[in-house]
Amino acid sequence: MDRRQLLQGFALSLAAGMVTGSPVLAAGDNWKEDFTRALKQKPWLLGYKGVDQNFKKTNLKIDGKLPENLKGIFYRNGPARHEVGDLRYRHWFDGDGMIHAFNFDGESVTHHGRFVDTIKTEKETEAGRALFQTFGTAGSSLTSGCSADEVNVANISVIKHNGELLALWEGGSAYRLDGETLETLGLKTWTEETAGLPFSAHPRVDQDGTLWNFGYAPIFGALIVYRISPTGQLIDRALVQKPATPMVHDFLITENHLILILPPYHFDNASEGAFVDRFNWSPEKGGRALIIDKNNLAAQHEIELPPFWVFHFANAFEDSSGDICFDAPIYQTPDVMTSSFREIMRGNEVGSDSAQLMKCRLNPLTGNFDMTEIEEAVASEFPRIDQRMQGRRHRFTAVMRGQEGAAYKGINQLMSIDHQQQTTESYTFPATEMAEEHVFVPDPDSIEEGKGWLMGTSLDYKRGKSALNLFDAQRVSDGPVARMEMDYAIPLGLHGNFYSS
Amino acid sequence: MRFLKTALITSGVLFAGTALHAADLTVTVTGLETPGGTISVGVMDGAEGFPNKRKALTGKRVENAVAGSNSFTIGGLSAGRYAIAGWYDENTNGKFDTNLMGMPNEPYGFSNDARGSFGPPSFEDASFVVGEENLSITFQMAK
Ligand SMILES: [Fe+2]
Repeated sequence: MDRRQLLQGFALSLAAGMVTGSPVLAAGDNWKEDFTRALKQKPWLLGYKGVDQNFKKTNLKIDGKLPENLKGIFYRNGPARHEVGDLRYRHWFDGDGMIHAFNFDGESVTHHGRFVDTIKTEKETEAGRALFQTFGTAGSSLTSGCSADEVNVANISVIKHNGELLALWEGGSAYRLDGETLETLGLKTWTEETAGLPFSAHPRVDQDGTLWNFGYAPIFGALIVYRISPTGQLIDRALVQKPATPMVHDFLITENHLILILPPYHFDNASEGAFVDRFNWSPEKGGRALIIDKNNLAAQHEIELPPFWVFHFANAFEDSSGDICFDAPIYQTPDVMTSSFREIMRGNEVGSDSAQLMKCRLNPLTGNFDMTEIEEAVASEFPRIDQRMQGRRHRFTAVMRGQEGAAYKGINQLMSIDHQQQTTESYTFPATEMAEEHVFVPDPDSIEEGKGWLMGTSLDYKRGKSALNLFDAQRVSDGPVARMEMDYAIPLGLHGNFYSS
Repeated sequence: MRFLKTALITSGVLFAGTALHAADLTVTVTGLETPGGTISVGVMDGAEGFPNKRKALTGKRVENAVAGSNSFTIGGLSAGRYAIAGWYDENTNGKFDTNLMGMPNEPYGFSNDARGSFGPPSFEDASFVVGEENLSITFQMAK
């Protein structure tokens, strides 16, 4: 396929029209029934059941003591509507996104949750059935959509930049939301030339408030990099031609560089079916690190890496020798995504590799790369840091830990790693709880890294109740200092952020 | 957008060789959200190169379009199979505005309301048959 022709757009070689997809939706395959049956046997599947209604604002009961200076809103996104009409989605990442807001005013905590009103939702609600292929679901009754934003489910993360709340997916635009009511305001268009282009769910805020992000656009054989000013203006962007585009979920920034880790998991433009099924895992081809000069986005070079899969990075920094150092939960293969998080949607438990938290070191000049295990942090995910250390040497990383090989069963431990002291602290949640990402919230009265709290949700599947937990970030093993329980369960989600008021 | 430029150029040109039994085609374009722009449509009579590398047989330009729906007539079509491609120059800059990867930023549409996936539809999906009678077709323009 001629790439230039592809990028002239519209006149694409995908001109054949609707892609009808793989026979995933075979007759007699009833995932909805399978899941309902499995849920009776395995109550922990509650986290994957999904909801169809918004959550009205309610006051949460507070167990423990809230810090008086903790004021602001914790927003969290995640796939929440797993069934549309008769269809139950075939992948955890498919569902329509719902934003949750937990509001701390210094005395009380409220919760409300609201679906993002996407173009997709509007069309499917009107039709009364599922219309579009998703990340992991295809079939003859579903079309692939005309554009990325027609199938945008806005379900991965939520950030606030320049006062604007944005629900993030990774295949299309961000959606603008009202920070108080969570009402959807429309698609975020930075500039006309980037309208509708992929904007990943893991932008990074630099020391000066610059928002860096990227997007991968496999149908167009390209990656895009965004530089957005603290006041929300797109001030630079770069296209990286990349036929057989790899799937890239997160990236890294340092003082001088942007680093995109490109796993050997490549899009095949000639294939059909659900998005995730159109990628091929080719470990023999090895991975790459794409290193871009922050001050000259055209200055790009690549370094060969061993093959591995990764969703998330904690943080990166440059040490005195010029090495780029980062830590991340690393997988041998993307099986957790291609298999476990698919099968769980019909209640099947399919084991897969767990991610091991690794310290990686990459020399941008020599291309040397090595990685070492942080031994205690097996089966880790959702790494977070004190955001104030973004792109600088950080002392602490917080991760969530699960049972090895059983990511689908969720997470039962919060672990804080002190890279300086080489120690860890952890808290294990009660046996009937599945925990989710916990984010670092800085203590507004301290500038010291790690002074603050770790905040995140968990689901007590036995009692059918979710809770928001608050830990002293430096005394994780003491357990939560405060816990705000809901009278209901909210679906297991992905990423969130706290913004102080 | 090459196919639309072609349509635009051709639309201003008188075309020769009117068939003996020529039909008039009344086209209604719906879905325009803003008034004042320019509608351009091209009529194509075959799949080869459709729509970007194929020269339009004839076409139409309608300036100062109203919001909602606009109707116009394209005359002199001999019996056969045709497809229409059209776009709406919302900001009247004379260009079919697209993003960096060539996806339209302005409304566009094809006869039969055919839509492609991240690209134009096939001629088959967008095509319709003109006989000896006059014919009306309606399609929507959307981003
Ligand atoms: Fe993520």
